[in-house]
Amino acid sequence: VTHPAPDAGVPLLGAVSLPQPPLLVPGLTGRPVAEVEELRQACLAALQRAAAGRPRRIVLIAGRPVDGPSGSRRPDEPPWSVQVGRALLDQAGLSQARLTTPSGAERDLDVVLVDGDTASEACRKLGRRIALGLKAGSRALLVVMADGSARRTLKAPGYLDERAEPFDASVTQALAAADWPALGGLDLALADELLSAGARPWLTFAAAMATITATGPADCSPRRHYADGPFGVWYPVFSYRRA
Amino acid sequence: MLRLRRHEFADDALLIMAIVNRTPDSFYDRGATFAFAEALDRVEEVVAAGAEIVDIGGVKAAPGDEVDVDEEIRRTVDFVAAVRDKHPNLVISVDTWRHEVGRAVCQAGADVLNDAWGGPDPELAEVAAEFGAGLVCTHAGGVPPRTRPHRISYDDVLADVLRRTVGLAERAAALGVPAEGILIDPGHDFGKNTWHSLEVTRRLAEMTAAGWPVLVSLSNKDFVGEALDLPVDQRLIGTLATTAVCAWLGAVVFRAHNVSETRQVLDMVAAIRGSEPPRRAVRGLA
Repeated sequence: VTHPAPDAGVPLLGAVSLPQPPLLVPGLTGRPVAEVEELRQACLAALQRAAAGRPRRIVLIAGRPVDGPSGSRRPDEPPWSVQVGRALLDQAGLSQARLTTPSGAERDLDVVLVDGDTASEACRKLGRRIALGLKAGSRALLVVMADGSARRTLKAPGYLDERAEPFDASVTQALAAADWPALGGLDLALADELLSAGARPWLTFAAAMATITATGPADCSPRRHYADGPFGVWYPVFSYRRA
Repeated sequence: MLRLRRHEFADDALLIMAIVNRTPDSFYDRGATFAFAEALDRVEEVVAAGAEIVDIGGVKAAPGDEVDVDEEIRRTVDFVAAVRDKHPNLVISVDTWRHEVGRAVCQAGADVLNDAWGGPDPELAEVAAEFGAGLVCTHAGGVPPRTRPHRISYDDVLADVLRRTVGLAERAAALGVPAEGILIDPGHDFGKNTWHSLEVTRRLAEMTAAGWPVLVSLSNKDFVGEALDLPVDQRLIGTLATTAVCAWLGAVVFRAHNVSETRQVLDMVAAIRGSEPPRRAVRGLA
């Protein structure tokens, strides 16, 4: 006889916003690098908090860059956003083997790719569709892979752009307040100029969260785990949990 | 795997054997560590700089004042015991061709006998077998210890190197020296002119393919000086270039004066080879 947990019927257990630098793929820094390990620990803490109730589904919202001057990638190779997301989920003990359907079968992540040229309304539509796909009992963990500007300093990958800091500050404020209209209202043209690989996934995520919280309990208790840019790229780490 | 008495090293390790001379007249340091205390300080220094092995020598290689067995023992044995006492995890090698010295230093705690003159005393390998010590089997072209090469010639220098070093290694193994502690050394400049030393360097892969771990002793030697026409105090860069080439071609142990510089070169080669990860790779990955 199994007794369902009190929150067994919820569509969403929690959510996280995680950055996606390749640095977080295990081994890619060579020996461990202190700044990267600090970021990793923050990501794992966020995942552990948001997934505390053993999710049955994990939905990974991840950007897919449009072809650019980024070397030659194999067409079947997942984008960094997905590689980093999977690596962090593995390290947090949330790999696919731990996910089960109500019937007990294993299931993989649901990966939702958001192309780098998607228009804002299409992002929001995609987010609403994700939300509507979560039924009572889904007990889903929503993971969005997104980071801010890559033009924060003179040594940043994209060199210094003075607009980077205010942009990142507004993103961070929206994430901290679980302010979905603000997060969903990011200026995609500005985000692209600032090399923010997170804007479209965030728009999608914001629409999903707004839809879910509009039809259920609105509280989702945000927590900031990290917000810094040690390499000139802005990495916010936030978790959300149903109170 | 390389095992030098109780010390074991992975197959892909690149090891530094730091030179510690208890001589008043060696060519590079000119007696700087002849005194006991200075030599002990030198050991501290090379260990801190990343050496896994020290090679203690009591007789300079070049011709000069006679150093008999008793004097060589006086210079090395107590010092080996002191180093053994202070550095239990350090591999201690002693550069000697004499079995009497070999026995005394093994009793004092030496792990390796560096027979740098190509085996003129056949009993040295028996001592290594008796103590289970490592043994370096070197090519010196058959010249007597402490002589300079004079108009020496080879049909094929590397063939002679291989024939003699592999022959010494196989003999040592047959005598009971632990096979995983036997190294071969082409003996740069020993019984060789500069052309010979450059050729054995260029063809070192043929030596590393022979199946025995290869030690090279390159540090500030005359073939570096003659290749670049530089005096002994200006040969570091040439030595390091040679070190990188030998490491790439498969040498395992590097006998060296300049330990921190050599460590950096070997770490870089290991990173290029892929046997060690970069210390910190973040460029382009943020």
